[in-house]
Amino acid sequence: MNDTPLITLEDLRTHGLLPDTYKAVYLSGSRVRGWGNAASNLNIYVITGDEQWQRPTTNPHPIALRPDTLSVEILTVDGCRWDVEYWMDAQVDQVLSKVTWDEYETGQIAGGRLTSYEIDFLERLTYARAITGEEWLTGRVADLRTSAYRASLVARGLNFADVAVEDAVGQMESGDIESAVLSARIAFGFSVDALLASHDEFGGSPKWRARRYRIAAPPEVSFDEYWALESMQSLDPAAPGKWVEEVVMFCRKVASEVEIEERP
Amino acid sequence: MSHQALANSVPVPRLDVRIRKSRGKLTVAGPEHVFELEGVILDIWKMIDGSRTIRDIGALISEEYDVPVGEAVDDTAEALMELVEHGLLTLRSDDE
Repeated sequence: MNDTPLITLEDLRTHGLLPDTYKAVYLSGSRVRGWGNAASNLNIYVITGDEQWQRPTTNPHPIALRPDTLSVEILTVDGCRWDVEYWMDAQVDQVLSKVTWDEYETGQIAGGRLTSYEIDFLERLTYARAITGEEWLTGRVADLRTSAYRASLVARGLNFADVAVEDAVGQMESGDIESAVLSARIAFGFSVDALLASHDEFGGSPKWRARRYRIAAPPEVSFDEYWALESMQSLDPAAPGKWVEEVVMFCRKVASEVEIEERP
Repeated sequence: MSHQALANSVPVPRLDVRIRKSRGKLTVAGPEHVFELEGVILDIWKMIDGSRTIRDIGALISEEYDVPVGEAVDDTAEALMELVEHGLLTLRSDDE
């Protein structure tokens, strides 16, 4: 966390990025986790009340919530790109409502309604650093801890992995081996995400998967075994079907070892 | 075919079998049938690795549960045949 640039409310105000009222402002993302590099952007989150942030410079990103856009400002300050996301508190409520135990037990694909924006948002809550609004942040993290967040992401990963495995198997059977390899890669990613989520390492970005694996260090599958498949070391271009089968066996192993959680 | 005649076969799960673990049990689902595995059959399932024969698995079960090898191989074959009949496993001949 030492490389996190010091951002103050005054910095945001100076650049016209601070609303008149707000519930919390915090930093998160790779720089806060200590994974940043010179090219990394800084992820800044501003939580607003009833007013949605809207300026001529605002990029409205479509999301599956109400209001159905997320306000984002992007600018470069002293060579560092700032990504500022403005979430309304009511939007945060809606995201959390997708990972309640009631929702988990509906029989729908658990976590299936979460979009990548929402998965990133929730993941970044877990290690965020408050600039202001520590109480809001602490409360939201506590909400997350008692929710079915982990269970939902585990189930989501396993379910999507199953679907991709079925694709891979069907494609292999029809002789479409190249497509089977791509489907197997997708299955592998979901399967690893499920395994990591079961060890409280969340997040949907594949670029940090190895980092997350190192931290979670799941006893079910060694890092070396994981990395061999992630980096496709055993893929024989002359017989790629064998690699697909290895991936399928990996997914089966993960599903056999990861416990499906139930409401406490 | 007798169980001993099957002993050199290698059990191989369907590639697209769906598995979930909950409360110490495994739910294993094929396209038509769902099985809940626990106890000895769960241990047998876990020993399937795509290279062990039924005889190999029976020998491991024999050690684990302290029963005669022949009896363990028979029981292993019987348990796995049920999964084969419901399409969750196939048996590969050891000399393939």
